[in-house]
Amino acid sequence: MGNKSILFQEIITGLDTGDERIQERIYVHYWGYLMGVATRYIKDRNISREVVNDSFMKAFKTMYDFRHDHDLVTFEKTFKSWLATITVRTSLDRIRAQKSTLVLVEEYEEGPVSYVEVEDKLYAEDIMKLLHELPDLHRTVFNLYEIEGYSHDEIASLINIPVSSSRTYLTRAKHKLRELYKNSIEIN
Amino acid sequence: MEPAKKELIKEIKDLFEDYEEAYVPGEWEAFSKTKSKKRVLFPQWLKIAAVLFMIAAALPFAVGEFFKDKTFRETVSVKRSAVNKAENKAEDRIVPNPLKASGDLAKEKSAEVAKGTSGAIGVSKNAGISERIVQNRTGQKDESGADQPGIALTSGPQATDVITATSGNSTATIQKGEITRASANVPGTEVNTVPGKQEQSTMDFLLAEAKSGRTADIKKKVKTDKWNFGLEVMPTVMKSNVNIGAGITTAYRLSENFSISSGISMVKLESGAVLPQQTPNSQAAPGNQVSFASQSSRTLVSVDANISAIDIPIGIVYNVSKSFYTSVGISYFNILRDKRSNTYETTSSFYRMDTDPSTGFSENYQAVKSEAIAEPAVEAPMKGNSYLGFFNLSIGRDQRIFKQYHIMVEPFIKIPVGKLSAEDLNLMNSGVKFRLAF
Repeated sequence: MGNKSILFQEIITGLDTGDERIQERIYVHYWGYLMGVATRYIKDRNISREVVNDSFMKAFKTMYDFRHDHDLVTFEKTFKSWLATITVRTSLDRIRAQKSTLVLVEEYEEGPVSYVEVEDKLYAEDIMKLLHELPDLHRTVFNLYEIEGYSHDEIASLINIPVSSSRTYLTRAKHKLRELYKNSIEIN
Repeated sequence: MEPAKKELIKEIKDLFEDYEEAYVPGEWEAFSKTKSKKRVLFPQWLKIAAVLFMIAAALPFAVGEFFKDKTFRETVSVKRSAVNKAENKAEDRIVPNPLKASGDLAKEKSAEVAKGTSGAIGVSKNAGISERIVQNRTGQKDESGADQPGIALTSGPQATDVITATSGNSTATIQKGEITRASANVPGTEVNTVPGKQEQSTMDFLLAEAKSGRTADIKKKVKTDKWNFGLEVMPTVMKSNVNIGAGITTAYRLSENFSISSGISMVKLESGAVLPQQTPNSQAAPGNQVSFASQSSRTLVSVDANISAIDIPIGIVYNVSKSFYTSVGISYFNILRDKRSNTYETTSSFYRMDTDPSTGFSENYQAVKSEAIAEPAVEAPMKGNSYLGFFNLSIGRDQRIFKQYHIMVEPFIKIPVGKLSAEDLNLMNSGVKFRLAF
């Protein structure tokens, strides 16, 4: 039994018995992952930390009722995905709180760039910088669709925009990212 | 071989799928500080206590109308009886007066019958009906009063009685007015027939009635103090231990027989669970299992827990009689401390040299040593947890001491329910609550 399996077994037992001490193990194990999720949506690192802590608060309140079938592999996936969902929603709430509505900040021209191959190894920090150059709404739609795997219908109801707008913003976000990436390579 | 190039968006998707940052040491500590600060502000039990308090505070408004109506009815009945009493008494004393004044009852009666008026009979009947009718009748009597002095006299005090019953302060003036008017209409001898003593006694009586009415109202107000607070201690008995708890209680009277009670108490429970006998965990060395000497075992025999908790009960109390009541309710149970110790039974065998008394030779004997060892357990599975914990049943004896203090003796039983009943410890307990309420 590997270390991870032992950890998940402990988490399952802790959840079943309502043991509060398991919270520390969960926090330490998932903090990095949830920070990765939050920083994709929010540029300010301190706010991202607050979002992650708020997400843990919410999770710790309700996790003792988390339903699972005691299968370690399934539990690992579903629990991680559940935590990510909480973090995404908390991030969206924070963005909404900072601005009255999640609106398109700027329009830009769509160029001919439609396909870009990756020349070198990608680094998360570099891509994160490119992502934060996108308008909030575009970045949010891109993250929700491409990385979190939400459908356009789900995105539309989540951030209160029409489905067609979600498609448009995704296209624009991808286009802008490609453009930004090409520019960054050319500069280097 | 050069790796296949991928499209940018696909690469980004793959990159972020399982991306995670390195954990920064100290984050948990900072988080738990924030968390505990938030918890200190509004701990769970405080929230529940606040909700209970709000419910208890809102109840009087919710059922207020019902109680208002009842109080009104009671007041009316008291006033009516006072009026009736006053009227009856006044009639008893005053009616004979005209007879005295005329000196001849038969003569008076025959005069009334001959004139065909209803005179004194009419007045005495009217006394119990209503103010308006009496006033009308009084008017009639005034007209006929010049001819029939006896009737005028009887009508005077009776009208006064009715007015007195409705307005206490104006009694003296009206009565005097009536008497003056009567004295103007009747001869001097007849005026003397309304003695000062009698007038005073009616006044006194009515004032006394009014006073007693007010006192009754005050008493009622004192009685209608629906809140009740108290202090309690409760020794409890579990399967093997005796424990003690203490706390404060409050109760709100919903009606004559029902009240809702709540409170908060600190309880300490020492519970023990005797585990079923298991097969000893043999730690024999492999290949040596036949050898008895090398066998040893260690078995967990029992678990003792020492639990400190906050108990917030809420229940409905039914007053069976003035002195006895019964209560049913549930408890919210927040465990603050859970200290456990495990008792292991270890068995080991050893060789022992001894002298055989029959032969006198020294021989080796095999002996088995068994001992119980208690070790404190590291785990505290219930600490910090909250349960909707116990189903409470009790009956009690309420004894009033001094003016507003009550001593209550209340045997009770607490049965664990929900998650608490599923714990490995048997937390069912019973005992006697001793409560001083005020």
